[in-house]
Amino acid sequence: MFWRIFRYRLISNIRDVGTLFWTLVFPLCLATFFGLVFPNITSSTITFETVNIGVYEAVDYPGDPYLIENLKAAKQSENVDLFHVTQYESIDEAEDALQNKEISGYAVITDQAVLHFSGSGFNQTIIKSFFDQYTQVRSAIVDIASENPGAISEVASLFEEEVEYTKSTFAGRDKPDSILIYFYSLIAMTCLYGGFQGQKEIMHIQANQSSLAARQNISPVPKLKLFGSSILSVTLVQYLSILILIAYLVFVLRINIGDRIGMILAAAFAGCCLGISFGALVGAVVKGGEGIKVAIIISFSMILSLMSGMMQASIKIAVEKAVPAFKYALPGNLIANTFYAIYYFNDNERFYFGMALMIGISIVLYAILTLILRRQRYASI
Amino acid sequence: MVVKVSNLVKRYGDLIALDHLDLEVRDGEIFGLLGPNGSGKTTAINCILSLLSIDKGDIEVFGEKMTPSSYHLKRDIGIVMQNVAVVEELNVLENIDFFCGLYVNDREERKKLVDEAIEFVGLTEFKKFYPKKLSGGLLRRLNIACGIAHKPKLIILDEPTVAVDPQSRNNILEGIVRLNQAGATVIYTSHYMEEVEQICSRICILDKGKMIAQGTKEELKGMIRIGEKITVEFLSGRPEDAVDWMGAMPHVASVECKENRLLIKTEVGKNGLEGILSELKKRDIQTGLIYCELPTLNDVFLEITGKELRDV
Repeated sequence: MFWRIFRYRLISNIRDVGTLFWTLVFPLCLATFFGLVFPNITSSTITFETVNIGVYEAVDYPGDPYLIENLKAAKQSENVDLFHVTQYESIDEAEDALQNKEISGYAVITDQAVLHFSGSGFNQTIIKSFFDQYTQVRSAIVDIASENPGAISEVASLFEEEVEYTKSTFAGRDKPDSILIYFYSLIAMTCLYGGFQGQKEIMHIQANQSSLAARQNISPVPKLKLFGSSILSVTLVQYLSILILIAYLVFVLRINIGDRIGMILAAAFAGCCLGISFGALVGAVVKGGEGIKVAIIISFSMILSLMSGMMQASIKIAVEKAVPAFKYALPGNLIANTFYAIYYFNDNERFYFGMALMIGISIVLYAILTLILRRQRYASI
Repeated sequence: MVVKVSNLVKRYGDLIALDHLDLEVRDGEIFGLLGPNGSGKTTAINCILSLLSIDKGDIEVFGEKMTPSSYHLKRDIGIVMQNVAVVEELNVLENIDFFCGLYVNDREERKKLVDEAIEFVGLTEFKKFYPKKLSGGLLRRLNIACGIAHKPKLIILDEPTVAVDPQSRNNILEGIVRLNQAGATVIYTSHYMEEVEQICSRICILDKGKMIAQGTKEELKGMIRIGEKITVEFLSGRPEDAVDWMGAMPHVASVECKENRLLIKTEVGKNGLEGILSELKKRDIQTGLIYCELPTLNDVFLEITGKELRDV
C-alpha cells in the first residue's frame, strides 16, 4: 500500500505544472539568464591577441641592441607572444602602417625610444607599460655598470631571473571564481523551493486543510504512512529537478562547478531534504489558507537566496561578516557554502560539517512534523 | 445498530455546534439528516468519523467505540464529501483506483471494483478525463465513485447534490437507492427536504445543533396539526373578505391571503376540500386554480421551529 500511494503521489507531483514551474522551470530560466549575463564566466584567465608593434631604428644613433630582441621575446603566456614586431625602413612607412591600423603603435629608436600612437586603448597601454618597465630596468643596469662594473654580471643575472617578492597563493582545489556564488545560490534557492512541495503534501494529509486530506484520514491508512509515502515522492521529484538544473548548468551552460560529482549530488540531496522539510513545517504550523503559506515560502526563500548572494555576491559576504553564525544558521547560506566547500577546499571538513547540519536540521524539522501529525482529531475542519 | 450517537456535544468556542445529539442508524436503512445550513449536519458526520474532537458523548460504529485509529471499522465506511475531494492531477480511472487502493490491496479485486464503480456512476466514457475537464455533475459522480468503490457497508453522503443540475441530481439519488438495495446502510445529509423525503426511510431533523424530530416520514408528519394545504385562486370577489368566514369553517386550522389566493390549512386527518368547494359555490365566488397538497417536512420544520427550512 505504501508504494501504491507513493506511485500515485509521484504521478500527481510530476503532473502538477504549477509546482514544477517553481521547482524546475523558474530555476532553469534564472540559470539561463545568469548564463547570458555572465558570458565566459568560468574562465579565470583572460587571453589577449598578440599586439602588432612597429619599430624604426635610426641608423645615426647607437641604438639599444637588446630592445628589439626583448620585444620579440616578450610572452603573454607560455606559447603566446606579447608582440608581433615589424621593423620599418622609415618613419613614413611606420606611420602609414599605423594609419592603416596594421599596427597599434610604433617606436622610433634613437638614443631613447619614442612611442607613437594614433589613439588610446588596451594595446597601446600594453606597449607603453612594456617600454616604461624596460627603460627603468635598462637605466638601473647602466647606473650599476658605471659605478660598480664588477657587479654587472650579478645584476644582469638577477634581472634575467624574474624575482617575485610577493606572491599570491591559494590553498584550494580550484581558483576562486566569484561568479560561481550566483550559481551556487541558485541551486540553494531551488533546494529551498522544495518547500512548495512539502507544503502541498501537508495539505494532502492534514484533515483540517483540505477535503482531500479529510477523505484520506477517514481511510484505514495510518497518517504517518500517508506522510512517509508522500514526502518520499516529493523528495524524489525535487531531487530530480535539482539534478536537471545541475546537468543544465554543466552540460548546456558549461559552468565548471567542480569534479567531485558524488559530493555535489549528496549536498544537493541534503539541501533538497532541508527545503522540503522547511515547507512541510510551514504548511503544518502556519494558520491560514494555501495562499498565505505559499507567500511565506516564496518570501522566505527569496530573502534567504538574497542573503546567500544570488542577487549580489557582496551581500552574502556582508551578511556573513556581520553575523558569522548566519553562515550556518541560514539555510540558503548553508547550502551554498557546502557547495563552495566541495569546489574550493581540499579538506572535506567543511563539506561534512555542512552536510551534517543540513541533515540534522531536516531530521529535527521532520521530528517536529511527526509530533504535529500524530494529532489525529481536530477541533475544527 | 450501525451507528449509535449518544449525548454528543461539540463546541466551537462559545458556539454549541451539536447540543446533546442522539442518533441511531439501523442496518440497511437510508437515514436522512435534514437541516438548514449551519444546523450541524456536517459536524455530526465529522464527529462520527472521528475527524473532529468531541466535548462530550459516545459514538459507536458497527457496535464498537469509534476512534481515529479504528482502522478495521474505517475499512467498511465510505464517505462522499460535501466538497469534491479528488486529486486534480489524476484522471477518473486513477482517482478511483487511488482511493479504492486505500482500502483494497489485492490488485485484481481492486480492478474489478474500480470498473464496477465507474460503470455504476456512468463515467465509462470519461475514464481518461481529468477532473478539470468534467462538468459539475460528472465531477460529483466521480466524487461518489471515489467514496463507494471499495463497497463499504456504511456509506455517508454529505450533501452530494449541492450545485448539481436536476438530471444529475436524479441520477445520484437513484444511485443511492441502488447502493442501499445492494446492502449498504446509508447516511444522507441534505438541506433539500424533497430529496430526503424521496429516498430516506428514516429522518432526523436538526436545527442549531439539536435534534428536533426523528422518525419515518409518516411519523414526522404525524407530529404536526396540519393535514392538507388547499390553495384557492379567486376570479371574482376579494379573497380578504373570505378569510373570516372560511376560518370559521369546521376543521380549518388557518387561513392566509396572498394576492388573489387563499391558503387554507386543515386539521390532521380531516378532508376539508369538499366543504370549502361547496361553500365557495354557495357564495357564488368564481374560482380559478384550486389544488390540494399533503404536508411536507418543511411544514414539520415550520411548526416545530417557527421558521421555514428554506428561510434559514
